[in-house]
Amino acid sequence: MWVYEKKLLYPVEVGTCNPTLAKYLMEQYGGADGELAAALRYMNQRYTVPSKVIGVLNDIATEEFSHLEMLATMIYKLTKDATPEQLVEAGLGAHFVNHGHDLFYENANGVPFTATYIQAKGDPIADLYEDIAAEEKARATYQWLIDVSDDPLINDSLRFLRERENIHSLRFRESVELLKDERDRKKIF
Amino acid sequence: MSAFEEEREMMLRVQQADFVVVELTLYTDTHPDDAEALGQWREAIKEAAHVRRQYENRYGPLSLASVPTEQALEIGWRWNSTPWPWQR
Amino acid sequence: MDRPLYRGSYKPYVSPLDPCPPIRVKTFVLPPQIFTNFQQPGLPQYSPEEALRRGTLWPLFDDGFSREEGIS
Repeated sequence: MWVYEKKLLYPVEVGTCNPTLAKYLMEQYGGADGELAAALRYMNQRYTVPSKVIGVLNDIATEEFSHLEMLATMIYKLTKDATPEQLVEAGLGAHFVNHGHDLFYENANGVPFTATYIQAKGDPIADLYEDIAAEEKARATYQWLIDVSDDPLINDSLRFLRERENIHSLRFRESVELLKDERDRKKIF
Repeated sequence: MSAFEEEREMMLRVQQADFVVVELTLYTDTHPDDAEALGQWREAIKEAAHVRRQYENRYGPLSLASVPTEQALEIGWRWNSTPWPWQR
Repeated sequence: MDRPLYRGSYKPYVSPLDPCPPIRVKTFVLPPQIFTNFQQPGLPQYSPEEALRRGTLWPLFDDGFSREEGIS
């Protein structure tokens, strides 16, 4: 089970009302390589991986939910008091018509989240290699978000999130190494 | 320092202490035999609990793993009180 | 965090017919974790304040990123 903590992982601050930036950030909220996809991918894989690597999947999945909450905070603040006209101008007119000021799990183009973004192959190496790839893709997405954002406060949070992808990628790489140690040497000539 | 800034400062201390625990937990997941890291991890959890207690004594529980004080309830603190983390 | 260690570059082919002003050298990220498959014990650490700010406890895995670098 989970218990909610009434705090953010990192102190998120937002400089200006900027719905265009909110639209871009949705890529990491409900996109293919976003935080929701990451959390669900790892949370689902943890049940059947070798015991040695359960902790990594469990704990990174949990952390990804705190990243999702950071993204939500940024999107919420960037659009909170935006007028319908401002949202239309930002390319969020269709979003507003469907969802009002609510957030939604969709990517920067408004494509709704789908479970087809994640995989589960029942093969620990195949799964961990997907996880490593997912972390590197999320890192790249944060880089391009930093490149298009001119809000230094948002960029401060995005830099933190990008660095977390480095560490998660490292832990998944280590997990592969841990499984290599399990090799049954007796069968190898 | 305004009351708003004071709260933010104490929250930042909690976030810093908790983050060390997050990092060391992931590290010890893949390094279960690093005795020095395990020691640091235990100390980091103690420190995070200490900093959290200081925050909660003043501003109320951050989770329901902490007992709300009677004074907190008397002065109107509720779990459902605003602001929530995304509203701050 | 010696950033140049964690960046690569190459010179793309430039055609005289390219419509946009050519970028002669393209840079890309080679993040720290690809050089280490397993973290060594006892690496130097940031203080808790610095660790939260940087997003990691270990300077060795912190390669930073800013739009000023011009990577894209």
